[in-house]
Amino acid sequence: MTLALQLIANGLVVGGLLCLVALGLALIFGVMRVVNFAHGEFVTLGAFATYLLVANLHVSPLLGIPLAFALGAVAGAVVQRAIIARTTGRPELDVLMTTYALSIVALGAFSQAFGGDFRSYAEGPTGTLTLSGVTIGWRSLTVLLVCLALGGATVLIMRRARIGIALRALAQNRDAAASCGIDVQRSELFAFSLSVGLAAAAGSLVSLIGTVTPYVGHEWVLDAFVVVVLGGMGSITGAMIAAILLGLVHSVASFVLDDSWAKIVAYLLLYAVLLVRPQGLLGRADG
Amino acid sequence: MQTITRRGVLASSVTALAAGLVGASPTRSRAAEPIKLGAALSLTGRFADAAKYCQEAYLLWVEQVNGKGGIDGRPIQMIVYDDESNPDTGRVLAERLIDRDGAIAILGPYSSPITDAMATAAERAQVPLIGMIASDASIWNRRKLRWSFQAFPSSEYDHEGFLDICRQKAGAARKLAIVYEETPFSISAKDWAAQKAKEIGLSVDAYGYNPGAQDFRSIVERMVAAGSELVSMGGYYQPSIALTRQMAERGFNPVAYHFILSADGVTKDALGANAEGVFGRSAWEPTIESPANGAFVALYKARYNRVPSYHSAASYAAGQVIEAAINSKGTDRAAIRDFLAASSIESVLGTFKVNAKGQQEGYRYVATQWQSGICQVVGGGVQRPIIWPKPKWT
Repeated sequence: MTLALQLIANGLVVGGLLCLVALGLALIFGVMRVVNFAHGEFVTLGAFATYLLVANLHVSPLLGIPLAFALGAVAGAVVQRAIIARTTGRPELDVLMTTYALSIVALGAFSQAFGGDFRSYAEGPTGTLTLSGVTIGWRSLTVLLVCLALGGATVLIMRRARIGIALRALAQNRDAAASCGIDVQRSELFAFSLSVGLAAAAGSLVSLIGTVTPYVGHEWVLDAFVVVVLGGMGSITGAMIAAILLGLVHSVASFVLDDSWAKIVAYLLLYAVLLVRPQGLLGRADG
Repeated sequence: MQTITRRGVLASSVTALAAGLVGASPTRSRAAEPIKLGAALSLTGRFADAAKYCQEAYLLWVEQVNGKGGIDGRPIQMIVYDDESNPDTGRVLAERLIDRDGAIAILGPYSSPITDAMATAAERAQVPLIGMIASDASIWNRRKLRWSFQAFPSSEYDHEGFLDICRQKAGAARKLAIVYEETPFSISAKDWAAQKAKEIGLSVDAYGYNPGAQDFRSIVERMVAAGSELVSMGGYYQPSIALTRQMAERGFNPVAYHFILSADGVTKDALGANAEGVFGRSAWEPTIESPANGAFVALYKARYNRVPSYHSAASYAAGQVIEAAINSKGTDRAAIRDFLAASSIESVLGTFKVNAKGQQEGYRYVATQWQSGICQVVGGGVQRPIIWPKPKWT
């Protein structure tokens, strides 16, 4: 029983991080129908922002989380206004190539600025918490709690706030929403900005438990795409459920089998779900 | 199709110019034709930080040789291009160095994948290649290479130093866990170590992980469940730090812990006090006592005002090896190849000596351990106390 709880706790940490990255991807796709290949680079932005803060000012990396979120939100707003908004109405492939190009440019910029070396810091929460035989480090617990808080806040915004209702309306029918008086440009700006803020906050958390390199976001975003497809393209709740599910499946499968099999099992799960529900767990069926 | 970048040509020009300038010794005849050596280095891209140290050592070696009047009165001209940390670019540059620039030999790039790619071109053109920082044993194991030589300790021996220490110190701790990446170099190191561990009476559990993995919590749980007492991690730096942190977070304290790249200085930044007692392995350390090493460290510090890294030592050693070959056999490529295949050559890394496959056998890794915030060489013939067991994670 203790082992099962330990595996669940382990899976929740990874699932939480995946959730934060995937939420932004799902939100951007749901509202704007944009597949944001550059999402991983915003994760990297948050990771480097936190690393630089800790390395230069020797402050707690926990301060880096709101900073990364704010930095990401501003960067997201700039990118949305300067690049993404200009692709509105263009063929899907053009938009896809635009975000892909953005990803390549950002990756190159990070590599040029920071080189390929790994960076890391020892500052931050230390020690472990043991409850009913289940041990979890304070760093991982911090990650879990922040993911829970940010994920919960995003859901609340989407369900209760005026802007969230506007975004849901846009996701359902862009033209109808616009004709009802919803400011499409402002709503899309908010959606992109929030999504990138979440990605950067996730990057900050990744730097807390891992190392920072120009490729760190790239590694997380691949799994996040799986989460978005599994949860249902554009579904916020679906992405959250899929992320947690994938984290738990990975945790259990890599314990019972091994790490390679865990990857295989995760993709088999994806195929199985898509066979039964081609629209994903909570996605809407076309037509 | 790969093209040579402007940046690459610029790098080449700068380096060639530097070599030419330092080669303008008064003892050299104006007509002396330079001996052309080629190299590709990752001046940009993900290996750029490490490759910078390699380039510094090349320049230092060229300065030294040309300062003494070159070899047989001929200066060394080192042509360096930027492989952009990309194996495909490295292969194209090797062809360019051979076909267009007429390099008589190639000094290897930084990293095994790029060496692997460049070796293909070197073998085809029958030009000697010295793989200065290519530890991956599979480059030489999976195909027959005649012209490419490993000048860096082989990855097969990644765990050797730690196992030697375990043999002396382990006592009742007999359960070894080897964590390895599912890539050729790490698998071959795991296979070698598993065999060796059994010979010294240890039981072995091996745990593979996917390249790029960051989540090791399940592997840690498996080690906890198996009662592992000794842990040796044979992967790259990033996963090693992740594994270490997750072991600490789980409160899993093995009797001894080794990860192969822990000797890197950034380990202390990443792990803080938890680095204490962690074992590693190193191809070279500035503190290794030998006359050649002492002279190199002093020379490097005088030139660059800091202690050299192993990247610099390996690059300087590659220069020393090719210098010995040219001194002995002139600039004939086949004669240089035969010399490299059959000779024992002293270098700052140790005695260069390859086996029939071209793999390095002359020197192996030394074991290291973090002690009071300093990475110290331990084991082997070094009379330094070893911290055993590892202090508990803080």
